[in-house]
Amino acid sequence: MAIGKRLQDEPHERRAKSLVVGMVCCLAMAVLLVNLYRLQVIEAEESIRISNENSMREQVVLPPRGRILDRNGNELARSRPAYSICVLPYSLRNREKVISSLCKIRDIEGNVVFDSVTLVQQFRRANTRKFDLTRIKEDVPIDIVSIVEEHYMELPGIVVETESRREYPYGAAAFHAVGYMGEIPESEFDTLRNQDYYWGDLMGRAGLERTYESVMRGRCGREYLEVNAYGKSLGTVSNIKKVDPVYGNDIYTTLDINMQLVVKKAFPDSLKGAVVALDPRNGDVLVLFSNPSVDPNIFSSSPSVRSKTWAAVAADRNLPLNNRAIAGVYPPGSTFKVLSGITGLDAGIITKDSRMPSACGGSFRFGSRIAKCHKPAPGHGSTNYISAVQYSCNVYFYQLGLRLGDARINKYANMFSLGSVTGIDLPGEKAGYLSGEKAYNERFASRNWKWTQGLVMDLAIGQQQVLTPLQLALMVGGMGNGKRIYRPRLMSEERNKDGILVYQNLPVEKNKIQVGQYALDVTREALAAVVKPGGTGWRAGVPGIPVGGKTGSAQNPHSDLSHAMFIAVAPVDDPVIAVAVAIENAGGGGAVAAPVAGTLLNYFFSETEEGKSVYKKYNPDSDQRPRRPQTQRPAPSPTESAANAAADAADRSESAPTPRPPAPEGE
Amino acid sequence: MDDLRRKRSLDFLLLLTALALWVIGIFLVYSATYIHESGPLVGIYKQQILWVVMALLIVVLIISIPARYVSAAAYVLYGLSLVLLVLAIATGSGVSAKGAERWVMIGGFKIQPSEFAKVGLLLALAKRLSEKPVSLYNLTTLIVPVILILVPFALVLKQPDLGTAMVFCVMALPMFYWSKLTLLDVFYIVSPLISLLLSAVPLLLAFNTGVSWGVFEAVPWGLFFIVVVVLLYIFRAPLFIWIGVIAGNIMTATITTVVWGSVLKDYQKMRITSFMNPQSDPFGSGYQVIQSKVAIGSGHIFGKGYLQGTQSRLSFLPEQHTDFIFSVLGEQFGLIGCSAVVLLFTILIVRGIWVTYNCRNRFINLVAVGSTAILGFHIFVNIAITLGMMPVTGLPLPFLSYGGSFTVTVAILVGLLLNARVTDQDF
Repeated sequence: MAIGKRLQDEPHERRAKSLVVGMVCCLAMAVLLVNLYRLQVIEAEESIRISNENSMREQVVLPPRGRILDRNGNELARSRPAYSICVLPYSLRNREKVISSLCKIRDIEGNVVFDSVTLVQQFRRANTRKFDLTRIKEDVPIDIVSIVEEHYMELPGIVVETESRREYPYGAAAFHAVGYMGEIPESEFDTLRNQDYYWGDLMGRAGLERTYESVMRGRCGREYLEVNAYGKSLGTVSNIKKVDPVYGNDIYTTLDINMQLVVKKAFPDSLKGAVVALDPRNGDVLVLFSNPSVDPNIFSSSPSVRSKTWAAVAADRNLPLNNRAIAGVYPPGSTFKVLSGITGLDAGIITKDSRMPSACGGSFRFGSRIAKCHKPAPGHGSTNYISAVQYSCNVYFYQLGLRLGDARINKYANMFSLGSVTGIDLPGEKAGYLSGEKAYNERFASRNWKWTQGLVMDLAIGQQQVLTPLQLALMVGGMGNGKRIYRPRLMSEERNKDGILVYQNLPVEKNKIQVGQYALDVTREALAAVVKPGGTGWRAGVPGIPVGGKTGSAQNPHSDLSHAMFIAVAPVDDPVIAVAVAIENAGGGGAVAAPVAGTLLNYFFSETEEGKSVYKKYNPDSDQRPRRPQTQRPAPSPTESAANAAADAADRSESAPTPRPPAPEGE
Repeated sequence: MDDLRRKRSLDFLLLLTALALWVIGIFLVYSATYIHESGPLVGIYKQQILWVVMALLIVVLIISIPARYVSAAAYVLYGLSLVLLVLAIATGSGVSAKGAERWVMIGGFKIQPSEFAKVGLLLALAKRLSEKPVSLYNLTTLIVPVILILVPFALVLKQPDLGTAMVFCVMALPMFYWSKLTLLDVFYIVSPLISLLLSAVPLLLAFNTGVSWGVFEAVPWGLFFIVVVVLLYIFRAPLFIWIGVIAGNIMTATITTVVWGSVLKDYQKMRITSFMNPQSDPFGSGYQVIQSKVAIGSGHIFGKGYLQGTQSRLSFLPEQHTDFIFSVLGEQFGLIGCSAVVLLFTILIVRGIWVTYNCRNRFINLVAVGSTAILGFHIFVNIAITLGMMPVTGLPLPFLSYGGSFTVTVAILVGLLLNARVTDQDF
């Protein structure tokens, strides 16, 4: 075979073709280079920006919220870490596959965690905000979280978020003081969005959580996370400075949760009402209890649970969210008599032994009105001031009231911090209403009711006003203290997360008490007489401690049963604790309200350090611990028993039976 | 005539260029996949190292085979590659990757018959064309070569693998050119394709921008058609060429317009045009292109540094170790790195064509031209796709992309190119 056949015969033509093909190839490569230049130099900026956005996500770091502690360091509210499973629609590729993968996840008990119908809905909703995380499951247990984390390759767009959730170890017991957390209300969001809040954030909605929201919240930090195409975070981006979060501070309160629990136990569960205990020496609120209550933990659970329980709570006719200790206004009833009394004593109108011109015969006639005493004829007879307080004689105070007039009584009421907000560091406090000629005419102008002298009689026995339990506690504390009334406070100290004191809330004087020593002494003697065996408040006594108190059974237009009221202060001459108890529609103050105060006072003097040292001062010889309350109390002697029985009878209806017009009530 | 007997030395420049590209490829595959802690991509670079070692052995092996044996075995190899293709379809693709019937299991190896079909067709065509040159003016000479192409073409289309089918055609064109066709003849053959492009481009643009061109859609094609007619007239083309070329051009243009206007649905049009405007479907067909362009663009001039590319490291790039490996390079090494690699590719192609400049053996000439065409086409199309210049067709990048069958094929092609330099050309 001729070689020539197989060889390219025309070298020139062949080489020309080589050059043509070679040039075509070089041209193609040149086209690629030009495009590379365009993409990597001319249009590079845009790509760099997208590349950065692709791989980074701004993460808002919410610092753990500060705790709320009681005076002994018990945690009333704290934060715990929790995990949410979120979807980032932007990196979601295959929705159906992700949903079916999620539906395969089972918890320890083998139950399915997600259901596809809800997921489809959630994904659709999430799709409106493609670049934001949307929670699809909140408060997920750690084992489910680890399943999701392990399978992130199969779950592109599914992200686990760590957050902290609020926890209230004492649940309902301290609900009204501590408050609760809820989502930002729409009305407040506009102003709060400039203060580092994001839509859907939780904030304090009531109680201390609300008052000290800014203190406990801290400040959000920001960091830039590097995320891969599946939305999984791979750590922070090192070259962008992150803003560290500022931790929220802890709030140390003046509350004593153990006392609070004692009160909760002693308080009749089915009844509504409130108990306040405070330290008259500085305004420390020791107990702030309101019944019925709610477990605040439900508000920090997942949204489905939250909305369900919230609906139930909001629709409850007993208004469990209402803090009756500061926002429940009650006619003070006979508890107000000591204020009328101290006014009379200080004005020099009466003395300890003064008797009223008209002895109690079961009723008192004023003009055409016959005002009754709670003790039907023959009545209490002619009594001196001490006995009038001890037995709560209405007739005595009718006449005292008429002599004093409404202006003078209200001047002293103001001095004892009644009728205006006390300034406690809780939201939603009510001022109450003191009545009196001017206030009454204004209030009832629409009904065209006019103030009459006869109403002064009602005012003097506490059937005209409405006051909060907190105000009553301040009043009785002020009578024991005798010098000043401090503004009630719940927060004593603010400490940062390392326990370093940041702010100390010092006692603030609210009212100076300008009352003569004699009036104070007599008032204390009268208060002590009430709690002595035979007084209406005998159930509040603490052996070895001079307790002063006053019962009240405030009639009200809502029910036949009167509100049971009781105020106490102990020790009466140099008090360390003042208590006010209000129980709605429960009957006599001595029978229902006084035992709650008694239980609390006995606990206070037998179990707390403060109480024990005071007990020691009053009983220097007694080496033993103060006796336990109630159960260990020795049976009253026969004479005492008889006296107590009589007192109880008096207690049942100690108020004026014809309150007219009906005492206005807030709630 | 003295160069006829001279024993040529090995083309070290070509070999070193190939070696450099393979090494770069290993590093890129590592960079593209090292982030994976679990799954099928773990340690894939080790696999690639193995393939490259195997590729070098194949190169050595092929260099040592005299070209005449290759020539003798051409049809056998062609037949063998067809058998593999048929097997892939017949076994219903034992292993189905991405739903396409592209794989065949042989001796525990998963091989891609379409890759070897490229080599088989190359050798068979070279053999046939070296014995019987084709001529447009004697259509009977075209029958056998066209059948040789059509059989694997049809089998590959059935898979379906449009990219490889295109490779077959593109490889044939310069080989026909070498086999006695003139540049004008090539133009006649290609003109219907140009007609298709020119009639389609206004349609694509109009669809993409939403502005109809009206009558002006016909302008680019009309001008081209006039040029074709003028050329036919000037060069006094025979009557059947006149008829063939004009009919071909009118037909493709008409079919294009009709298909676009009434057959294709909007979503299909969207898919076709997505490379022009990937943002129109950022999570669907445009996703790969967007991410690839972003990766390459964000590399800027110097790149983000090796293993520093966020796009590739954070898995934003799909198929970054195979078809989109160039974007890994672009992101991490920037314009400098890309240009260097394009330069290496250019050297490779130019050296491949250089073989034909000095080599007188027709078979070797044709093999060299075909091999270069295969490599060049892969390189150009792949890079053009990653740069968003073309619709995504799924061709790997020679030397850099991960893949056993493809690496072996590339090795065979490189081997054939080197073989042309060392071998005895007298047969």
